[in-house]
Amino acid sequence: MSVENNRHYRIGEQTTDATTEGLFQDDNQPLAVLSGRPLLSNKGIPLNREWINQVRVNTSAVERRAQTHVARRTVKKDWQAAWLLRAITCMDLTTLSGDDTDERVRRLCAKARQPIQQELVDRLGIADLKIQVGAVCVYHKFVETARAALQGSMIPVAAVSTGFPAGLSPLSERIAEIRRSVEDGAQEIDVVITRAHVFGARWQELYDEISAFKQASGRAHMKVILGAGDLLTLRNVARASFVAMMAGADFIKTSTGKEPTNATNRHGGWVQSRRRHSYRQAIA
Amino acid sequence: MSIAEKFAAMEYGPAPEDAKEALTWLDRHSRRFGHFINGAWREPFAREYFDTTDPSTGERLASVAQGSSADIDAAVQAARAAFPKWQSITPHARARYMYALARQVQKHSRRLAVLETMDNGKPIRESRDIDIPLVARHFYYHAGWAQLLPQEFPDYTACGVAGQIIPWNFPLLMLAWKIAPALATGNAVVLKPAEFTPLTALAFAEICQEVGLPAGVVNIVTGDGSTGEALVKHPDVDKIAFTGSTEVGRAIRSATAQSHKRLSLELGGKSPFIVFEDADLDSAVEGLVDGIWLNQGQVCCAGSRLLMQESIAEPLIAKIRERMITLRVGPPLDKGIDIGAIVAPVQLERIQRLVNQGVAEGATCWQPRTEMPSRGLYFPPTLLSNVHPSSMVAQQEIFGPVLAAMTFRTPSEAVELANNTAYGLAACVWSESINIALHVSAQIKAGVVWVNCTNLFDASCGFGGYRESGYGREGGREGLLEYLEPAWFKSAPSLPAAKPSPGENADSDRKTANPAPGSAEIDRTVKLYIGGKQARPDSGYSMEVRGRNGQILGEVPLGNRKDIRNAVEAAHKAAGWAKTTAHNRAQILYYMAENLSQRGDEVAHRLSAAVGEAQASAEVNSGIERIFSYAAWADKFDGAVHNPPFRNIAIAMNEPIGAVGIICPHEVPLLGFLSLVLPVVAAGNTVVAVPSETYPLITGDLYQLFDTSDLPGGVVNIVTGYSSQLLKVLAEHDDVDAIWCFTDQTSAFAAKSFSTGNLKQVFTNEGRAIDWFDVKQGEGRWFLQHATQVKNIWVPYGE
Repeated sequence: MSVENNRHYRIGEQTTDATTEGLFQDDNQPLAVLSGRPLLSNKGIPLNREWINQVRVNTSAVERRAQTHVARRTVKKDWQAAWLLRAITCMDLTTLSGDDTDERVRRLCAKARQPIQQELVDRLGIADLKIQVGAVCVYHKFVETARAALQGSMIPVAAVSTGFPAGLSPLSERIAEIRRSVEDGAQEIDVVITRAHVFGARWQELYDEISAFKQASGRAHMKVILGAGDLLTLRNVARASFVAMMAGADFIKTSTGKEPTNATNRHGGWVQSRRRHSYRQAIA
Repeated sequence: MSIAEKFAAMEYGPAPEDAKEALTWLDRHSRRFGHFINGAWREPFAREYFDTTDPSTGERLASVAQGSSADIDAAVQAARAAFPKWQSITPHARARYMYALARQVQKHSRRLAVLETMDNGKPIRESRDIDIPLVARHFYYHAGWAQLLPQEFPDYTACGVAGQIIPWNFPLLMLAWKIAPALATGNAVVLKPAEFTPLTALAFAEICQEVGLPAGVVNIVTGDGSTGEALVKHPDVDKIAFTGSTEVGRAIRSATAQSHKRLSLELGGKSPFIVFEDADLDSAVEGLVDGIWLNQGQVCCAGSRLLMQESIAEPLIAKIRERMITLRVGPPLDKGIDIGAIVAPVQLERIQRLVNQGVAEGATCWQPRTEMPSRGLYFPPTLLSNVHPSSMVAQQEIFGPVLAAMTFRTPSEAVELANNTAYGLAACVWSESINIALHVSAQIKAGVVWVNCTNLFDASCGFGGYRESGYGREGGREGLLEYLEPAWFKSAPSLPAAKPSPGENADSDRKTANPAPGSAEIDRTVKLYIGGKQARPDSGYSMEVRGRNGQILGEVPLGNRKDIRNAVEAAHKAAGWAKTTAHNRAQILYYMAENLSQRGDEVAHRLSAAVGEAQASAEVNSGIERIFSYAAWADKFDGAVHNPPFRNIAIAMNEPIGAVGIICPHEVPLLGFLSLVLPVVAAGNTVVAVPSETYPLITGDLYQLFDTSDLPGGVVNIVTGYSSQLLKVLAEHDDVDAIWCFTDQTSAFAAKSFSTGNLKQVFTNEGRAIDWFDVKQGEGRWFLQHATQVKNIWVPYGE
């Protein structure tokens, strides 16, 4: 642990500059509040290789769980409406296309403020809930536009970063990209990982990379996109999930939306949530 | 509660399945059902009815007929009358009917699922997604067998009229498991559904009408235990298939012992669920949800004994508890319910009583604070930890949502604990190491082993138990054999009843053996053969052996209970024989043939005094051939890989049964012995044989043969004596795993009667004469099938 810890801090020192408060935030201010529950920043822990080595994921069993899960629970009528509303509030309304324009982003932001038609809101009697989406997600170029459009709405702007979606630009550029988005007012940063580190089992490199992203994100909420469709095996997804959380990910996501297969409930639903659960218990 | 409040609460809310169509169906029948006999609904003779209720509400669903022996008799007569035609229509015609049954089940699947849930209390998710689809699949699969039967089972014929008794835990699925193979093989059936859950069977009767199944091929008589008893005891039933408790299974074994009824029993279990330290623990927990919390734990193969490797016990228990908290107990028609209602008050009370008893014995009981419905029969998911292997809750089948948890240290200890039960139905093995998983699977005594999965079923894979979990298989090729018999066997003539054993009043006018002219032979003392050594009998007595002309040929030891006990012990010590390679077993058998061939003339010469020269030399010659046959079979009677609709390898392994007691036929002393002992030995079993009572002196020749052929000591043990007495001792012996008896009818009945204690498998000639010189009758798969039991190992794969 000590060796890894040292290395970790060394990387931290190299990338620290005067504007960053330190590797991990000390204050316990929540990043956001969800249904009255504070979402605290994940401070991360030193890389624990044992967790990674002990990962066991039985693909067939996970598939069976994923298949039958959808048949084990259902919500109907008013409950269905309530759950769908909840889903809206958890959603990142996103546009990540080459043909994005300021105007398109503004339209998206308008939708984010009012995702449900007023008539429907009235009929459901949910005006007081002020249903809005969880965030608006754009490329760095549109962070300022989105920020302005969402002024006064409490909806955070998320920026995809770190050479999204492949994540293969030089590390210093990826880190600089995060900083620029934070400076422009992004409250959430979506980072992508170097998938090659997972294939090569270079956990320290992966850990250091994500730690550096975390540090650059500062007070912003860091969401780590694992690229599950690229990682292919559930075991890889599970290992990468652990490393990301140990390195301080506030949130782990399955995919960029640009991989051959994107989110499935095998990847995100089971493999990642189980790892998140284990991590939470372990650091509690 | 407003939507805004629901938004904050994030609760599931009710999601009831609509029961309207099922209720309409019940109303259409005026909520009153007679028996289904000869293609029509029939009032019970005694006009008695009983109510079937919804266990989740206590409400009456319908009245159903209480079957009497007169009703059973009418049903059996209808089946008997329908049987010849049903058996003789073309296989394709039978296949069409069965295909139609599958289609019709599918078309009405939701109504059947709702009906099942209302009658039984299981969650609609299970009846809708598991039970009914498997029912349809079973009929599809067996429609295929109906089509292929003559090509694939050319020398077999249907048993005739099958009496089938099914339990309440999977009512329609168990009906399908019983009826589909019976019909595919050309049998006609009388089925008695469980008292608590008759409705889907009655709905199935209507389906039989709808597809135009010939009248009398399927008859359904409802009622309680007495109705089942009448069916079991009916003299014109050829085969009884039963699924239910071990206790009732035993009673059925006794009740059918004095008859030629074929019997298959699928009984209770206390199946181990083994989790190794390298398992995917989260998935293992879900396995438990599908294991012990499926169908409220009212599953014969439920993984009710959790065996955890010590190193992961603590985190695993924590994960299990956490998962238990999220299990939802409630009205079974709700689509978001995990645990429904217990089938009947008596069952609920039994679960509570056993849990209390477990706690009194020191177990720690943990139940989540689950919201429980205010009415109806419910029991919360329950975890009993600190359970010791010998405690009652680790040994007795609870048949409820109750998991008993224990730990182990090493794989071999896991196997030991897993097998520490009288049952042997199923097992789960969770490990990411293929070495551990398959090694342990091979050693567990159970008919089904699921590796990294739980409670997977399919028509293509045999299901059934080892030991006191019963015998016979349902599903797969192996399941068809339960409803088939070799065609020649049914028409074989009966053997004359054996003369009563001379016993103590042996006549005193001894004629001395005629010594061969011109030679004075040295007295040849034949002894018992136990553990590879010649042994004197415990009794110190001998019995004389006389030749064809009444002349005394010599004497053999008079074996008794103690000698059998020693022989059984020796047979168990030689259990390593099962682990020798099949090639090695074949080599030893070939060597035996070599040695018999060398000494053939003298063996034949001695034998001729008992059976005449012609038969003696024929026995030796055929005997050598028979040895060759089984040497050949030893490495060829292999298993199968089934094709269930999963990404999975389902391996059907033919495993030896264990120590087999064999009562050899009297009339062909050498060839009869070899014909029975060799298939058993070739398959890896060990044997305690009682040789022909006509000429037990053959023992002396046999053990010389075994000794010179490197057969390991204890693989074959021979005890001479009065076969009827030794049969009783062997059949009653709890360490004998199967009994083969090939003498007269009385002995066949005795073998069945005396073997009920540990429910050992019984294989007899039913007192019929077998032409041992005819290879079609005297050797082959029929014998090997009885010398083995099929274990299905499910191995899902994929990364």
